[in-house]
Amino acid sequence: MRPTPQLVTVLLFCTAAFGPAQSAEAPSAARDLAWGEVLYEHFQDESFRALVRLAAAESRAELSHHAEDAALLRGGTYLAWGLRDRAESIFLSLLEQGTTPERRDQAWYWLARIRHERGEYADAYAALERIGDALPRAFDPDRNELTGRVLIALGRHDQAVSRLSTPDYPGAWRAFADFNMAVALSRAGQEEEAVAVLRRVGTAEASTEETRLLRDRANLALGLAYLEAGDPDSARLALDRVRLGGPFSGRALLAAGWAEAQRGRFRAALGPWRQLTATTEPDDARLEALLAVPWAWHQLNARGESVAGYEVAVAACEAETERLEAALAAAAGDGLLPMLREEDFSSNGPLGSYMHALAADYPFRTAMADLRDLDHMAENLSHWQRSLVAFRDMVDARRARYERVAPGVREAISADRIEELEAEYLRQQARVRQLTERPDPLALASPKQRDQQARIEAARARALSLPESSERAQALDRLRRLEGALAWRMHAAWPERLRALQKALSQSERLLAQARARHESVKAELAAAPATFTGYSVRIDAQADRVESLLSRVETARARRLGEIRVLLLDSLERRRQRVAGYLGEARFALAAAWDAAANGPVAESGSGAAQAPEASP
Amino acid sequence: MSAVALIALAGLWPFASGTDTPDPVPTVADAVPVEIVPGRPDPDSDPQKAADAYAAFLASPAAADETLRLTAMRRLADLRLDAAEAAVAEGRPADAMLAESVSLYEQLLSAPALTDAPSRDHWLYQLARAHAMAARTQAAEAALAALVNEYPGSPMAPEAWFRIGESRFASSDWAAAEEAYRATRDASAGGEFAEQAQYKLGWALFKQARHEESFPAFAAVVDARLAEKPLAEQDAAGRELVEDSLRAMAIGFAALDGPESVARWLDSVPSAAGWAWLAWARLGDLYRDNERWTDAAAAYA
Repeated sequence: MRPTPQLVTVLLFCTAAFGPAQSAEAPSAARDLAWGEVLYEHFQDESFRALVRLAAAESRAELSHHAEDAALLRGGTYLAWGLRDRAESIFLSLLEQGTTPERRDQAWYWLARIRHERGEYADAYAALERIGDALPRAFDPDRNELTGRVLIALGRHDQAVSRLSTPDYPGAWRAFADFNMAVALSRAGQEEEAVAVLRRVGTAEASTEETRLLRDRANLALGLAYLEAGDPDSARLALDRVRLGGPFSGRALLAAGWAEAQRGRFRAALGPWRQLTATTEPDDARLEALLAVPWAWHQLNARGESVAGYEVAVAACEAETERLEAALAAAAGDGLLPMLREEDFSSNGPLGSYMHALAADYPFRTAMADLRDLDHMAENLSHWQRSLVAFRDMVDARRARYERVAPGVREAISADRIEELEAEYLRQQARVRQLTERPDPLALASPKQRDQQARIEAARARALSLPESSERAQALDRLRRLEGALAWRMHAAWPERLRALQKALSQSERLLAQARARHESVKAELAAAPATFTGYSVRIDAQADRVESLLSRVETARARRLGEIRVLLLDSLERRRQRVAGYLGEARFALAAAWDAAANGPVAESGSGAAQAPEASP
Repeated sequence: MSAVALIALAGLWPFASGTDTPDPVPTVADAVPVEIVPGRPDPDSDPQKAADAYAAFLASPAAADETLRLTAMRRLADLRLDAAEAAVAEGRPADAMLAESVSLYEQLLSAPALTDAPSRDHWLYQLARAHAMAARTQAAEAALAALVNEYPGSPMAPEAWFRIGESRFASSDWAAAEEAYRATRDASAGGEFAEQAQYKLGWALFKQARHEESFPAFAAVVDARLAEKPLAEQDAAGRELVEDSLRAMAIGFAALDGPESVARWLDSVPSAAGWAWLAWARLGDLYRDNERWTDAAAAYA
């Protein structure tokens, strides 16, 4: 049995005792954020994404606390996908590196499963023997079950019985263990004990669909065993417990009819047989019942009914043969892959009902699961392929924009005179500092005041050029007063003007700093811009090649899986065709024998030369 | 099938998980017997239909089961031969049926699985019958010869020897016919073909002019018949048989020494005392018919 991802989850993370129907519990706290993300994807049943996230986290060294957990998860997931070799190498690598006893025991457990799946039972048993005491308790039922099946496969039935009869099976696991124990007992030749165990399974309460199926199966096996032993009464009791509508109902109804026939109650045998023939399921039990019904009529000496029944059986077998021919053609044709991708098998035309029946078959189910996984991978890779095209377009757009914009930006940067402005700022800063240290109201005088000061000085110069006179003295005095008044006003305005100047200088400093930052930013961006497209093309091309290669590998794997499914399907259909051919042969022969008996009497041939017909029987 | 095989058939249960669902109630116990009354009349007796059904079975790929196939072959062969016999009797063409029948018997006889089958003598007999109906006398004799050679103790061996004798007799191979009739007589002591074998043995010897050797054969026929009842009380066939035997003996006596031969031979056969006069009388009749009056008088005397 290949473990499902759910089983992997349960066994990897379950910390408490659990039964067949118990769901996975949450794992212990993640100590690495990336591990938490991996678990999130895993618990969303997104195993593929979980592995991608895991690979990314490992490449970034983000799993310092959960590297070994990651190895177990990866190995378990690969195993769930049927990639046994890769899973095995991971578990072996974990063992070689050395790990905690708990993880070591888990690795041995998974190795045992892998080897069991490969049919390497002795190696599987050796791996099971390597498991120590540190395996989490949650593994116990599964480990015991696996050990039991490995022992049965090795022909060590007594040991298997011993293992399966331990009380270490919680809840519904007990019934499953009992069933397998019955198998081991019967193979060990202890048929009475096997029947007793089957009887226990067949009469036990069943609370889940799975256990009800198990009960049906046990009762069918029990009924057939009783029939074989010539005990039709007990057979009928066991068979009566099989549910109608279940996967075992057809064979149970058929066997119930034979139980009645064995009791000599041929009319009673017709009950279950006719109920079976009334179905439309193309299973072997129905075809056998179609043969059994006219046989029973023959026993009841109702020859007309018997002949009619055989004619119905012949027609049914011929129709089934035609359906099988169509199904074989469909299975061999190009349209198989789209049919396999249909969610509902019954919509698959001629293959529908056969695929539905085959879906219960483990190798087919496994191959189908692989095909779906590969489809998922191909879808992911195609998505990445499309994304890489978009990335390439993005890079090209960046380069084009850079090439279009960069010259203008360079020109603008070179023309922004930021250095000149900074020099001017420094000059102004020095001037303000000088003015602050040595106040000079005239330096900050208004233009009008400057004009007034200039006019005063011009007038004084003219006055001084005049000969000494009172007018000259008065003029100079007047000018001195004017200058004094002007100086007064300038001094009065000085503090305000100095503060305004300082404020303007401060503002200039801010603006200049912003301008410098922008300048540098633009320069940096300009310098960095090529990095946003330079080299990406190569990387994108490399990734595109890789994706292409992966897609090709996925396609190859998908074609291989499709081929395997086709072989399984064709093999199954061919085997069924042969079985139906057998039924058809029996039906045709029985029909001929019935006509023969009607014409010549129901006697067997002897050497007397008289015309004698064989008796019709299925 | 043992319980072991049955449980193995059920297989190992793969552990897995499931979810709770309501327990469906109906079980096989609920498949109660329905009221079943046969409504169709018995099929008509139709050997043709039976034969065609066997032929359909054999013509289909479904005839894979060797036991069924061989059974169908032998039944079809018998039914076709019977039908051919009826057709011949009614003046209808029977070649196709005979050819099919011959082919089937030959297949049966050459089937490796049937080399020790208890019915091989029957198939050889039927094969000979089919060949004979198709006027293939040599093939018929070959089949009968195979029967008597391979199955000398078969209940059909006397008839086969007799038919071989008849075939040889018809082709004027008297000595070979003599051998076959002797074999018939030896194999069928007191049986169905014993009298006919004696009678035809006499004639085979007669045809070889071995009259003295033919007398015991004819005499055995006459002896046996007249031991049961007088000639006058015999039915027509019996009377004819006795008369033919006596006439053949008379011709033989005549060819020898006439009345002296009769006297000499009758003296050596005490059981003939009861009907010796008939031998004399038939010899006289022969002479008379040939207008050998003197010899006739001697015989009657």
